[in-house]
Amino acid sequence: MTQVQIAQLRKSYGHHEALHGIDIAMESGEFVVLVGPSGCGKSTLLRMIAGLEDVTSGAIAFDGRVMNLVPAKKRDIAMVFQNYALYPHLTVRENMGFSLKLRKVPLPERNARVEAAAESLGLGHLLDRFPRQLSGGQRQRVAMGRAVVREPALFLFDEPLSNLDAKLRVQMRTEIKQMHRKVKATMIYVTHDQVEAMTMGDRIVVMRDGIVEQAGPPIELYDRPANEFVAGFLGSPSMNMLDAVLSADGASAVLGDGSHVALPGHVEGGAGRALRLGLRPEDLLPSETGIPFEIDVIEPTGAETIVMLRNPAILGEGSLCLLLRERLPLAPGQELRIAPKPGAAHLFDPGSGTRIDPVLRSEPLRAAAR
Amino acid sequence: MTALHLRRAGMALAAILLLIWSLGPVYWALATSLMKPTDIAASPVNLVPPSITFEHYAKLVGGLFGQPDETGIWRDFLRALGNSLVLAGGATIATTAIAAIAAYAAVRLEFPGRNLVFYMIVATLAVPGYTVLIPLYRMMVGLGWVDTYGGIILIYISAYLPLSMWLMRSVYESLPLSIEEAAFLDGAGRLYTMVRIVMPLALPGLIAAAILTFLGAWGQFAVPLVFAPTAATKPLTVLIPEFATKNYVDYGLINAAGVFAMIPPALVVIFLNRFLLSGLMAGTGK
Ligand SMILES: Nc1ncnc2c1ncn2[C@@H]1O[C@H](COP(=O)(O)OP(=O)(O)OP(=O)(O)O)[C@@H](O)[C@H]1O
Ligand SMILES: [Mg+2]
Repeated sequence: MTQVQIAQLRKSYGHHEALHGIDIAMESGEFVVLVGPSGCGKSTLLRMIAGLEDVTSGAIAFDGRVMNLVPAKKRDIAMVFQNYALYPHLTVRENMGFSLKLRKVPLPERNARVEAAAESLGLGHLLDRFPRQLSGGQRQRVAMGRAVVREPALFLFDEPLSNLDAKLRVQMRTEIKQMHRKVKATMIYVTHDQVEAMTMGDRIVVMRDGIVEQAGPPIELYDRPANEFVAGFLGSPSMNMLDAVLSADGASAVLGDGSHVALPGHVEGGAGRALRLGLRPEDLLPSETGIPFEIDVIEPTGAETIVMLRNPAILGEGSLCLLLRERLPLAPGQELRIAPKPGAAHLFDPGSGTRIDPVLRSEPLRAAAR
Repeated sequence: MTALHLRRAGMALAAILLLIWSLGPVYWALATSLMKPTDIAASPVNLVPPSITFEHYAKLVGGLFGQPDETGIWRDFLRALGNSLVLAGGATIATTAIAAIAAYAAVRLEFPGRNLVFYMIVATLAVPGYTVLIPLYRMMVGLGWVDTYGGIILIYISAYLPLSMWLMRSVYESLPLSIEEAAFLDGAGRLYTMVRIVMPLALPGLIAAAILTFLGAWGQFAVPLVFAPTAATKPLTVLIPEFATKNYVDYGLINAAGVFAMIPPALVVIFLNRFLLSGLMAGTGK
């Protein structure tokens, strides 16, 4: 159980700065997911926490104690690597017991702990095999087992599931969460898969180009993304982004074809203010009175149907993605009128990309709330 | 016959030719060493010994078994065999050990000028040995290291270290860094990680370096010719040619000694080769 505080952390490789001042505070026992596109610095940050990379400036502290200069072997951290990094010349038992042996845990206790961990991961019958004699999924479990056996204060995972097939990935996701509930240690989990981030994290930290774009509980990030990047990154299919302008009364966004989308409140800036209007695919519903689009592509997945819509006046060359839960008799080329769910519109400033929160119009209500 | 059969037959023929090419001289040495001097000198040459004799071998090692010894050759021979083993063995152990550590430092430790140091050592590969022989001789005389095991082994190390370091560096570079990092996080220090994790994984490379060094040192002629003038350190490579005197070339004796000289390198290759397990790295990742 460890609190992790990261303050103004920077990392430079030569003249190239990979992390530009990261601030994160992690509660003890929390499951934090670092997510972001490739090259944004997730692994670098994780490796700095592990002590595998030097800190250029800023601080990493565990429970208030600055760790910048503490070597990796003294940090009491277990890490599961993307390529598992098992010791190829040691058996599963020796791999899992390596750290205990180093800490001079007596053999009977070591064996007991290794066997208990192996049992809980379904590796009981594989203890005397070498890594080369295991399947990818089994190797992944051994790597997890090696981490669990140690009972460390902090677990780090660097894309541990990216080499597994889709089905195993879903299964391991659940097992890692179960493990977290059981051992109650602080865990930091790196992934570039937003589904993993949403499903696993108590808290998500979205990174891009060496900075933190937003941090918070998954649903909060999903419902109130702080900027256009986070909005587009979380959610699959990702959020539709439309160019729009503000109406004269500040209460609706006007699309390219002149149709209005009602906003959940009032926006400053006056008529004609350029806006980016974000609409999640599941927040769009067919409606007799909606905006007309032409159906381009229909992709049924069974449980739901993804429909790609076109309307050059609104979208230019782009298309609008719609996620339907019910099965409608649709065909490409048909017209489909859709309307966003009330209050579902997200607004962003086209220049900075930051979120614009409409102000509630009902002043008396706000006064009463104060 | 199909094209496939033809290709198979062609490959078999090529293999046989290659075998004759490389094993022919070995057979020739063995056959000559077993022939009577009169059969050796006969014309046309005998490809197969008409009769077998062990007289040449007796001259070389008979003294060991209490046989009458008129020439005293067996003492010189056994001494030289011992010298060869000490020199080649010592050079192999020292070179491999130094290469193992130095190449690791060159790959994994960050220090200023590490590439410069590495390339300077490897660059000495390009210097032909004979160009430094004379200055080296004056240096060794000055230090009093001529005709000592230490001095000669030192020269061998300087000759074979660059190649071994180069080899070991590429071996270490091919090992995933994450395995070592996993060991650090498991609580191991640099040294423990190197001995327990890196060395076992680099073993095939170490064995290859050892084989190359041993074979090179075992066959060295120029260096011991200059630096091993007396029986104290003179190895087989220098002794055997001395069996050919101005008046008489004792082919039987030379070839019998040659056959003996083939045994240690053959044993080294056969024995160490067993550790050159391929696929040792399989199963680390994915
Ligand atoms: N050893 C290094 N030397 C120089 N630059 C590096 C080094 N390691 C990482 N970088 C740079 O730092 C940036 C962040 O890399 P990092 O590996 O942390 O990305 P990541 O978010 O983990 O990406 P991915 O999802 O592809 O693993 C990249 O621009 C990368 O090129
Ligand atoms: Mg990474």
